[in-house]
Amino acid sequence: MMAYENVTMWLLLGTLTLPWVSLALLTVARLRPWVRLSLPLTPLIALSLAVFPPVDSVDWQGLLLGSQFGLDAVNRTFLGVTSVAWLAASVLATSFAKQTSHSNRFVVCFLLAMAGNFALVLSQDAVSFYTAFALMSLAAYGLVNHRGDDASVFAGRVYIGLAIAGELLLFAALLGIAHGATDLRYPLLFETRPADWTIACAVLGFGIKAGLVPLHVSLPLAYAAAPHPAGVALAGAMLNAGLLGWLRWLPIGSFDLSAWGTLFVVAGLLGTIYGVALGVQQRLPRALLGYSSISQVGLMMLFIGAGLLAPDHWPVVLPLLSFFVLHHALAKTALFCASASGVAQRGPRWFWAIVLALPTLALIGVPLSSGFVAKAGLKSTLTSAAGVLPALIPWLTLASLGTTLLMARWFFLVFRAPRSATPAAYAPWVTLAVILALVATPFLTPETTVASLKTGAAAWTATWPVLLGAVIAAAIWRYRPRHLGALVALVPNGDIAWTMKRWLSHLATWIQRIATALERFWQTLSATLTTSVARLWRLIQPAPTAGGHDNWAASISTFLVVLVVIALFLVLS
Amino acid sequence: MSWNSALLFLILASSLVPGVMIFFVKEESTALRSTLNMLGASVKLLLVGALIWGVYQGQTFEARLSLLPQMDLVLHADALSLLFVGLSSVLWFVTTIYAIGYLENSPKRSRFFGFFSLCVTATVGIALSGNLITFLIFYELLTLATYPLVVHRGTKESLRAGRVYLAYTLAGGALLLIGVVWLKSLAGPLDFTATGVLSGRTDLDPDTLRWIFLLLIAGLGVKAALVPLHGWLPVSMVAPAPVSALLHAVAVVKAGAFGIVRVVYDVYGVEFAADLGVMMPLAIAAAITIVYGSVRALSQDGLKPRLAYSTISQVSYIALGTAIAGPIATIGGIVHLVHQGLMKITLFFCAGNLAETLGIHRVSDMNGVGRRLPKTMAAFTVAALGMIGVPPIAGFVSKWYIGTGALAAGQGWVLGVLVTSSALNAAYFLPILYRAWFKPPTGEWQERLAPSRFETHWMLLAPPLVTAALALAFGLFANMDGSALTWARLIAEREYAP
Repeated sequence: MMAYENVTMWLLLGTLTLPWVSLALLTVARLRPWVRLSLPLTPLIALSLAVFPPVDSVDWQGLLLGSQFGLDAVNRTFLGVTSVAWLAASVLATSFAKQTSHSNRFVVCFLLAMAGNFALVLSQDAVSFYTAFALMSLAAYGLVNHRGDDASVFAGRVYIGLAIAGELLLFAALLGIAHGATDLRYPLLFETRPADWTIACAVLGFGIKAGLVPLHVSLPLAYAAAPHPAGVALAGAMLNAGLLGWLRWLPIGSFDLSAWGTLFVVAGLLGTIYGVALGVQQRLPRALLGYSSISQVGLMMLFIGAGLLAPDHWPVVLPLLSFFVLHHALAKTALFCASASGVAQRGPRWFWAIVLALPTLALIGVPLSSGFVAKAGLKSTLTSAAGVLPALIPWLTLASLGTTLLMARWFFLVFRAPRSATPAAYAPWVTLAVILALVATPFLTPETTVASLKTGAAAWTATWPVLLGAVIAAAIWRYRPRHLGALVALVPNGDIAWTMKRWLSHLATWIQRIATALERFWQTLSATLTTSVARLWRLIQPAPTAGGHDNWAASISTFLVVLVVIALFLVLS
Repeated sequence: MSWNSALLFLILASSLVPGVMIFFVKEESTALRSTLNMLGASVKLLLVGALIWGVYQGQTFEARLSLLPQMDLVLHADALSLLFVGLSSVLWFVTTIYAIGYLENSPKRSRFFGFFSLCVTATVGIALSGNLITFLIFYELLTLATYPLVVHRGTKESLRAGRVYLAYTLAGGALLLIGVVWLKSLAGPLDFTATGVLSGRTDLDPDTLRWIFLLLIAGLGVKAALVPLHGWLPVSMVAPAPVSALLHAVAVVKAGAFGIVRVVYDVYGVEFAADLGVMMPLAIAAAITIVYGSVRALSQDGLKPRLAYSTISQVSYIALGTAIAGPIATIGGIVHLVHQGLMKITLFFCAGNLAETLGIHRVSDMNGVGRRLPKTMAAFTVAALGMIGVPPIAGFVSKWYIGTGALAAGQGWVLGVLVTSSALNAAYFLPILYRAWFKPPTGEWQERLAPSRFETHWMLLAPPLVTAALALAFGLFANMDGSALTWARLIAEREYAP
């Protein structure tokens, strides 16, 4: 009988190393089908690790600049949702990877992104986190641009451009943090308050991953372009990496950073509206989910804003935020599985209509759902915070209304798709399983659920926007007002990315011009230099030479003579 | 002569003797030539191993030959020289394998390998030099030994490149010579000393010392390709791939960079140089070079020219780390000596494989090569990402130390240089990776079939795989004993007066 700590330690090591073993096995062609089949193994181990957290962490002093991996109060929930999302993604991938072209490339990128994602969640020091984050971000490019059609190439380009920008910002942030820290392990990271530029770099750098407006553009583009298993991983798991980054690299709860707190609150509110406003205009359900994520991250930013404004409250706020992350990631994974793989197109419609209503209702936050508990947590966070935050509570009602409309639109898009489409292998089962987990979530913490239900008023405030939204959506569906049709697809998927593309191509032209000018300048200069040197040469060595060899032999001997003369001078002086 | 001093000469002889012998080997006797080559490289590797072991045990290694009155030829093994000697002997070993594979059936191989060995002898001599005079002699020998390699092909273009190369390096050598002579006539023997032989000398005029510093750096800067002295480097791209690999990773540019490190740390002393106020100009020159090289690399379609401009940029990280004048940045600069060498030699090996196996010379012809040469391109990918500074590859460790060192020294502007350069590196390396892995193959190379069971000749494939693995390992296990980083930390500790 193995002791608990031994078993959990093996789970931890397994999560960190198994993807690498799989990658190594890929080099043997005969083993490739087995590697594909074993993709769900790592997330499965990771999930059991989240359920049975290890007592100790692993310390690899030789790795990078000294690395540590383990679980603590911050990352346990993240590990849980990350493993569920990757589990769903990898079950879908076992069949997808078999039939797609460039199967090896897909599996390699999939495994690398997975390895990075788990390592970053488990890392207990800033450098390992940064390394794993980079690995995940760069490898995911291969997932975003897997298909190679025009839309994927564009999505990939936007994605990689922003990812690199994010890496550079985070590199700067990391240097700034390291400058003030004596130890890069988490509890010791913020002994002194980091400089504001450091915080700014961290906020923006992780904001790119988490969909902070206006750095959000790669999110809906990538969700729509990536093949469905990769999309599930992007939406359910990798998005949270940005959020975890904020929790790890911002000194929340340690210092009074009210200016940054206000900024987070404002940006969060903005993101909430922006995501809904652009989301309802989308024609692709997956792009819509991208905008929905932007809107939901906006809500999560309110937690962080509250923590920055009132550092003392942070220990209370963190578990509430963790629950929100859990709920959102599960709901998104379920919705993504459903919309990406055409499950609604197979089987009795009424059945899927009921089943798929569950995650949408959860995301909206109707009573008894996980979303209700999550939003109750947000409400209590705002209520207990000082300053203007309690005044924001009505805002949440508005956000619920927006989410209702957004989800109604999603429902419409998913069920409108032609029935001929065949669902991806395993997709119906994966969707069902994730939805089951989502429905069970509120019962994981029964006391909070009960407490949040006790006040009837809370239940009613959560319900009426949903009903109102449903009525509006039903009215639109029934009457289909003509001018609304013009509004739809007013803004294309990826919104400001198209403007950015234009600006960037201007920038590229300018850089190109500068480079050409430099080149021309240099050519003129070096030509002048070379000719003058050549003239000098002829002065020293007048005899014309026929072949290259005589040329260099003569020049070397000339040089040696000069050398000896100067050496003699040196000795005599 | 004791065993300890004999070892230093043996290390030089292990490439000099085979080199001279190879000149007399008949062109057809490939086996004999290859045996001599590999024997020399292996023996050197063993001897250097013995040297490192000895230094680790606390023995001192110094050999002194009286060259002329008051002028000694000094060979000396300290931590810094071991770093460079270790790098060059390891990389020479892999490059020799690569060169044998690359030049199979090409003419004038005996001449090539002869000079190839002389070139390594000069590099190792530079590494082991114990004073500035010895350094100067080997530095000039290196110029002479590399010229025949640059013009090896004998085409009009390569002869022109050779002329440009000689014009630059001889002019640089002359400047260095004047600087050394001037300094020696003022300050006497110039034995390299940790914390600097000049530091603490109050009898010397600071202005004169500044002028001499300028001369020395200008002379060394030619080989280190500091802008505006870099013009020879892109031109000499016409040389065969193994030569480019050696030139860019170990021998020529590294000799310049190593020289700068020696002059700053062991002649002037870093703190003394900072007091003289010569470090800031050097840092700015390095920063300009870093950005300039990257911008120019952007617009190159030729793979080797793009890598050449990348070298100009990357080598200046060494000068930048040196010029920041703080112990942490010192680590970054010195460790980059090794890291840049590993990554750049990998890139050139891969470029050579593309040219030799598929006839690809331009980036725009690289569409889909990842499917045809997966292992080569995997090595290329690792090295290119390392150049950008993506962790856990070695380049990240260099940038990390230069960046934190700059902040510790209160020079935040360096961060801007690092970020700009990384962004530019990404802008010229990522499109290559995109073409290789994500674009469908185009071009006539598709019809060429693999000649062997590997994607290319094993002698061409193994070297980039080994160096890429080393570049990855030096980053991934940076904190482990035996990594370049731990060694660089040791050096930095000694260069700052307690």
